[in-house]
Amino acid sequence: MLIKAILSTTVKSDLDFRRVIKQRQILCFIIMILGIATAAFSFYFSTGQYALLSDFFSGFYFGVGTGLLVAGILAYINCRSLLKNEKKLHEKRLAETDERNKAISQKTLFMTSVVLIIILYIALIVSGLFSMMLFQTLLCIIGLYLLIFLISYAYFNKKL
Amino acid sequence: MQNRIQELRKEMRLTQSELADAVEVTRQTIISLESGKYKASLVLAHKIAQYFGLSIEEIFIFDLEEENLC
Repeated sequence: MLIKAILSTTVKSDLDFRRVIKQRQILCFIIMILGIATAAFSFYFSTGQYALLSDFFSGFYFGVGTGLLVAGILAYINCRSLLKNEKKLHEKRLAETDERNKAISQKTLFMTSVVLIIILYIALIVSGLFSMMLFQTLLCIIGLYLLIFLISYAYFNKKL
Repeated sequence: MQNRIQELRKEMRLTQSELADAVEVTRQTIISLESGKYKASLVLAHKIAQYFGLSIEEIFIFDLEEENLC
């Protein structure tokens, strides 16, 4: 959804949107390659002399890789069908560039961020009772989150 | 902020879908605008005003108290 939002910012006509959909097809290929690479990584490190992964991680990586591959293929098929059908392309453009939909996405992202940071804070406090490593990991995530927030704020403060 | 979109649309015998297509938004956005749940951006307000051949102030009625402008 985020990538879609980024790629759709300059769309003003069906022709522009067609260009965006073509860019998305490239993105679909990247997702497919990432999926194949993840599945191959899982396969390579779970058999033969390099069998370093446990059954759980081997299955997990293979599942994620396969999921990415299938998602990439489905998204690619969807893009192709949009490029072949002008009416569908137009409807999709209206749905994605609609200002109310964009406002809903922004509010949803804001709400999600607030809830996420509260959950992370609670987890940080609780983790201190059990595991130092978990505490440090959560602290780093919160620190990174705040750093990204400040950088993004500074960027948009200059841009808008 | 109130608006006269529904009134003007009905005068012109337009459906919500037709108006939505004309101003390049979804039908749901027109529904939300008419019910007052959503406030249009300046660009959308301009598009709607241009479509009806009126000024923005003739379609969108500011409530000065609600907007804290009085």
